[in-house]
Amino acid sequence: MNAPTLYDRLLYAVPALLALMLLILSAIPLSWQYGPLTPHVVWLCTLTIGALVPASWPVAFAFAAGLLADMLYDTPLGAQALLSLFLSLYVQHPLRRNAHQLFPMRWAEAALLLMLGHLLLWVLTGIIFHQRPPLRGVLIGAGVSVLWFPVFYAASRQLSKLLPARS
Amino acid sequence: MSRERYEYAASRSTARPANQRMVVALLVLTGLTLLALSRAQHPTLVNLRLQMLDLLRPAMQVASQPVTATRKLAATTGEVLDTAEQNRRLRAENETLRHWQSVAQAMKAENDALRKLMGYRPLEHASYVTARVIGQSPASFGQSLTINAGAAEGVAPLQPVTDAYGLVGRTIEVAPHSSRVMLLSDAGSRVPVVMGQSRQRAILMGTGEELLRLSFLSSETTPLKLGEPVVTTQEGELIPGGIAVGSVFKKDKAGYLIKPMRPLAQAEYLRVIIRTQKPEAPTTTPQAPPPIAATIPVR
Repeated sequence: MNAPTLYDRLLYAVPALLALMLLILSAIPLSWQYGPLTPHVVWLCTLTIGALVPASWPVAFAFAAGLLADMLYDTPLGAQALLSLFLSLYVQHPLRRNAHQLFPMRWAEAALLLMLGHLLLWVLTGIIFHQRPPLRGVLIGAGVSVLWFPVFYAASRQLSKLLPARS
Repeated sequence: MSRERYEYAASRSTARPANQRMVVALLVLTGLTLLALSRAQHPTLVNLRLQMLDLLRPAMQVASQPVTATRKLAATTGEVLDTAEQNRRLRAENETLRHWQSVAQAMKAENDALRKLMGYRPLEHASYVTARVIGQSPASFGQSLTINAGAAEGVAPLQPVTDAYGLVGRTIEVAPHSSRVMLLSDAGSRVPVVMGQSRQRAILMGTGEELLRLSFLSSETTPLKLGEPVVTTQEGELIPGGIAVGSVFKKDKAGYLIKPMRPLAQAEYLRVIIRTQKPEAPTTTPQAPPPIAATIPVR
């Protein structure tokens, strides 16, 4: 296969840019009742774009997006970055990529990973900031992200169809 | 034979190129270093965070415009539909307020006269910076807001922040043109307060949820009345005294829960109270701050 052209590279940057815009949008002030409905954009994108369009979501980018989320969400700097990196490494592992998975399996796997990610972030926040946010809120946040997964998955699937094939 | 071929294929496909492994190792190391520095509250890291906050300010300001416009549209539509009822309610409220205005004026005159008599010197003067809320952290991890005023406008860390109803939180990180405000509901928030009627002192703690918790009550045996107002106290001199915080909402096994004046993250504009030095000569009672709507900056 030929090396990707500049045009290809720009096309592949589109999902990443969209994800960054979503991340900034997720930090804009909403009223109290809608605030908890905000999903964890970076991890959802890592689980969907990272799995379906890996060329648009390199591991280094996942790390950088996690770092940006740390700054926007006021979590310990490096916590979400590291967790995004590990999540990205997992979803882009060649053995996992080659495995054929049905959507319900992908959703169940995403639910487990999101729950685990939120719990780890809760633990890290407790260790670093010496105070833990209430676990109930964290679990609700994870649940909301799990419910958003099909939307992100469908959007990433559409994007992967629009983008030119690349190994 | 087929098993060997599968294992060979698997070993080939799972092997990452050496440079990619190097990048991953470097990123892991960077992440761990950042975490260690975060724990130590390293100044370089704090500065980096602040610079990034300022860098993101224009993007967040632009992104928040459609939400603000939608909110305003919804509020205006609701108001238009409700005009007649609102007008009737406001007339009744106006009459009550006129009565209280005359009472307050009489009390202010009496207060001024008593202060002059006592030679009372207020601790300090305060000025205000009004700013727009441009960012909000998700509810699950830390409760903070980002406002579009920073060190250049006179904001400094640990200054109290109010909305039109009462205390909302305190500034924790201040960049040149933006600041982060830790809400009273954040699990790390601690504010000294005093009860409006029983005058019991306590520390108001954030719970990470909408209700706040009272701890270290000065008298654990004297029960508090539900609905009793809670205001700030001058103790610690970080927050001026007398700012409304909320009211006693209910009591559970762990103690009393306080309901803020209104949901903390709902304000569109906030006011940072900037404290100045002690005045030279005895002064009269500080003037009440202007209404928050009158001090909205044109930014």
